[in-house]
Amino acid sequence: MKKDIRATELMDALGNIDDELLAEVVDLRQEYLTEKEKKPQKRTRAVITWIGSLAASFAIVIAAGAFFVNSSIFRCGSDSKSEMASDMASGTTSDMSMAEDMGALEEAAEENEMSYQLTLTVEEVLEEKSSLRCTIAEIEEAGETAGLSAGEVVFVAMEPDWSMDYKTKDQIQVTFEEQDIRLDEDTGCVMIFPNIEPQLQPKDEID
Amino acid sequence: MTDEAIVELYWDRKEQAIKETEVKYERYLMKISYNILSDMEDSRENVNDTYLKAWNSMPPQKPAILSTYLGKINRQGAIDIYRKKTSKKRNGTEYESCLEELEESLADENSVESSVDAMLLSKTLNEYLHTLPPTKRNVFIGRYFYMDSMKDIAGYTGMSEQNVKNILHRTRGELREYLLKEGFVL
Repeated sequence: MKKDIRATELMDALGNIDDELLAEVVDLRQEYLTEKEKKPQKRTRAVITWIGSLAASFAIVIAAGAFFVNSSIFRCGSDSKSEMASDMASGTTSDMSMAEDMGALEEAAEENEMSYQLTLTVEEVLEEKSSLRCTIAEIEEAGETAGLSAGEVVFVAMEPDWSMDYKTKDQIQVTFEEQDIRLDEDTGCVMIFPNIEPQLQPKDEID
Repeated sequence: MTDEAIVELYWDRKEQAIKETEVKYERYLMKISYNILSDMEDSRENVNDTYLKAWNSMPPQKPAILSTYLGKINRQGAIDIYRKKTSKKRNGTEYESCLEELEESLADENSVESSVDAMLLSKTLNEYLHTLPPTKRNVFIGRYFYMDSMKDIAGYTGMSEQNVKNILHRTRGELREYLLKEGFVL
């Protein structure tokens, strides 16, 4: 009678499987995993754009709030369209009515699919400049408000200086380099300008 | 570069061998390591160790299939790291320390017997795998050699995840019967 086998021993024995048998699986895996690796990149771009659109919509609500009740706004984005939203948030269009403001902001955000905006409270930025957190539920709620479908939210590291790491099922962490953060004392806005534009694509170019 | 050419570089003691191995097999090795360790840093370290072990073992080794040769080194290395880490975690109590010390002494006394049993087990396992139809065998190897997720296995075998689960369940049962029939005590 041979000895009692434990799972660890079986696992070690599996390390000696004949090469010819392993080679069959190597070929199968190789093709599949290569394809799979390409997909997350597309998904990353899709998520960025999705969040970009969604957060732009989210920004509308907070920017409008900031404009009328002088609350704090945290914003990132750097193209001319987002500047338009910024101008509105900082009060340069103060002669408009609230409805007009909202309409203009929505229009700016809609046209702004290639930019990225994320709105959080200024306190969150100042508390821990290099690390911001928001829940997926918050993003999804904002997405629903904006009429966007939530889909599957997957976050992966994208840039050395700008990363979004999946932390837990219901929380993401957004990390920026400190030098990317500017506090606009006139408007009370915290502005972030991460260099992420090469990552962005219009929605219709994404699978 | 072909595997044969890479192996030749190892035999010629050219450091280019490691660079070429990295280009061709880094992702493959990282995936195996990560499946076992779930830690990028540890996986990276293990892959680097794999290159070193490959460098030190060729020559005299001249593997016919480089991917599986590296895969085996890498898998065992990752399992060793995993065991070391979990052992460290467990060692919080004196009970665990005593248990480990006793296990070590038992292993020394029976090392010859253990290694013969291990060889027999490997041989029996290989015999069993050769009896399986290719699809079933690939699912089993994907899971228990490469430690791929059932989702990945379903992806590269073209089956549903449920089907993969069913095959694994049945195969484990059959393996158990086979090992019992061959005289192993489970």
